[in-house]
Amino acid sequence: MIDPLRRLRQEGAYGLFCGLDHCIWMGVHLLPGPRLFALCRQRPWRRPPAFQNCAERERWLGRISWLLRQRCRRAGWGSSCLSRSLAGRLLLDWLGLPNDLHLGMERDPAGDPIPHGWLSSGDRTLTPGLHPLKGTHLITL
Amino acid sequence: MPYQRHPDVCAAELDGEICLFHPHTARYLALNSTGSAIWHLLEQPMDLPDLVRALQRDFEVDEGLCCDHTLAFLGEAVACGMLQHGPVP
Repeated sequence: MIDPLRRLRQEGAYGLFCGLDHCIWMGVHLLPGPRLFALCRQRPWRRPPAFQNCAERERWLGRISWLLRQRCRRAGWGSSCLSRSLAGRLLLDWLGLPNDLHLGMERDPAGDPIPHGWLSSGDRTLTPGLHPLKGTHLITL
Repeated sequence: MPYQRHPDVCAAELDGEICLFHPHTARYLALNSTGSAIWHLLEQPMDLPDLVRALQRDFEVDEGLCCDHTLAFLGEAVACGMLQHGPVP
């Protein structure tokens, strides 16, 4: 049985993360591509590592990984693979946790190529990456 | 003047077709099989007549048609920054 207070905290965090994802999704649509790309590269919001303790770092990475998993599973309109990955990157950067944003191309069910973005931290993939046979990696930021 | 790949463009192959990403403009481009063949040929800078000759070796195509289609592709690729047209630095 899940502790109701913990459940409430999780849902609250998820709600806030949805808001962040949606704001970023709007930013992705409103900002010119080169400006957005420069921001993703420079990451002016990045902060030095907040945790010296490895266990603490892993705990926060696990929490953000959980948020991203939930969002990827439940997201509908107003969210994209790029906005989710950027929202995750923003949180990880704020916490000073290392992360990589990958951009690639994959085929949609109709066989047309579409861009895809995903996030990883070390050898951990935080948002769904490419299907090994249906996509190709282009750049890591 | 030769055509050449923009040095900063990221390229990868997907099912034999080339996908491009330009980091300065943040634009994606997926090439069809002919565009991919031209991209492969442009591993070394090449001008239009050489490119058309090389394509005619690989595809059975009329020279005029090949020239028109190649020029159209090159124009589009130069316009979106994936290729450069000018003297080799």
